[in-house]
Amino acid sequence: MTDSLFGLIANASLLVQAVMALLMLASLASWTLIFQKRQELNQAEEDADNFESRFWSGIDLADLYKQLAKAEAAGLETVFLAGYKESAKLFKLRAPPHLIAENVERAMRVAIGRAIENLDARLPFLATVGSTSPYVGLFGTVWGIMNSFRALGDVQQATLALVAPGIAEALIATAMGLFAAIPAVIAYNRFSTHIDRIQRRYDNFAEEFICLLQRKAIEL
Amino acid sequence: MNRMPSWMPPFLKALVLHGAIIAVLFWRWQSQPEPVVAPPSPAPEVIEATALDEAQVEAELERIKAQEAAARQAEQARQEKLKRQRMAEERRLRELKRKQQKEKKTLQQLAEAKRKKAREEAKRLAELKKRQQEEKARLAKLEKARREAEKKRLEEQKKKREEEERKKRLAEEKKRQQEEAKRQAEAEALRQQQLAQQRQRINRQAAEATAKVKQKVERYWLKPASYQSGLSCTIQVRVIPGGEVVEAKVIQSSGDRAFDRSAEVAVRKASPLPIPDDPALFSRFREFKFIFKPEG
Repeated sequence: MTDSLFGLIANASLLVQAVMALLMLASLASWTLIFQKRQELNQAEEDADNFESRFWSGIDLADLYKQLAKAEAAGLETVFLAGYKESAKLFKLRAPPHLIAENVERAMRVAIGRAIENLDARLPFLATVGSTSPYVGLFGTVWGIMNSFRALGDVQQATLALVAPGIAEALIATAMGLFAAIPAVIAYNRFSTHIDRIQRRYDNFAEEFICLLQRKAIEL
Repeated sequence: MNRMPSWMPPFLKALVLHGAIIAVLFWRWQSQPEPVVAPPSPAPEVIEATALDEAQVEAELERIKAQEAAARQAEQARQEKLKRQRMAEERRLRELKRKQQKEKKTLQQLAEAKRKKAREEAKRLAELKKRQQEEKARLAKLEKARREAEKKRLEEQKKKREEEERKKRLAEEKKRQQEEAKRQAEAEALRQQQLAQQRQRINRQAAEATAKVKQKVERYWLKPASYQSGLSCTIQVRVIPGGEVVEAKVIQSSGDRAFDRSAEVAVRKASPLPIPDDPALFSRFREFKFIFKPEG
């Protein structure tokens, strides 16, 4: 009866079962998010690589802009588009170089902010799972142990065999909480450093692009 | 309809992962506690039974009973002995414990005494240190006062020396200025004298030159028909170095126009005029007025 894991779970009280189901769902959701985010971030990094190699290949910026404006831009490309559009407007107005640089920087900063926001989205869910699911599991365990002690109080002669299965089944809830929390915390830390790295990269690109533009503006 | 939402592939991956982990856990769970569940039960004893007669059985029973009684007595004796041994052991233990406590107490006393001594030592040391510090502070104060006095003395000396030096310097300066003034005055006087001499010389030479010019002009003068003696006119003459006349103009007429013209012509004809080459003198004759008044 108490031999199998499934038996332990089936024998648990309704509340403990609910807690276990909740933790299972949280674990599933967080793993789904982990896979999704990993793919997204790798994609962003790869896109940035491709775009930068294109940008520094000596292609005419106007051509690059036309190509990108047609296709669906993402990440670093949106940053470039925002900067280029703004600079084109300002060149038309014959603005002084420092003003061009300032405005372009602002436009690019906004674009970077948007891109990073997209990458950051739903990441707090991982943090939430990581920090709360141990407590949820602990709650299930405490509840289960409480019940098994109550049952212990009713009998005349208490034996370890009477309480052990109850405690074991309650402890499963804690195990599940940790099982959900540990990967979530690891993934959250990894992803936030990864996003920081991407942001630095975007910032560096924006600085380089502004350098280029300002030089061009001074030459004109 | 065929397209899955974007979160579907990761979700399936997560599902597979969980399934795999749960399967592994199940398997481990099933295989591990197996040996605990079934403790080995003792093998059943095989009894060999044979038919015996009553008397023999009785005798056997008697024997067994006697054996059992003996065994019981022996057991009782053994237990008694064990009990005595245990009591003796307990007494020994109690003794040991008491001894240990005593020892501990002595040790505590010793430690207390040591601590007290250490405290007193520390106090004494602190006292000593305090006294030393006080001494040091006093010495430092003395040293400071001495140094300050020294400093003050040195400063005063320095001030005095500086004052003397300043006075000396002032006196020297004054003397030097006076000498300078005297020297300058002498030089000035000399220069003035020289200037006066030069001026005199130039005036003299100028007068001589003027006389020579007058003579030459008179030599070249042709008397006009209407001439009456006593006429005179002033002519402004401009010359270049060498005496060449550049311009001659009557600036104060004599009243007789013919005379005026003849005077002008005479001056032009007399070119070059005998003017000295000395540049100091020539500067006076670059443009000069000349009163023409022929005698006779």
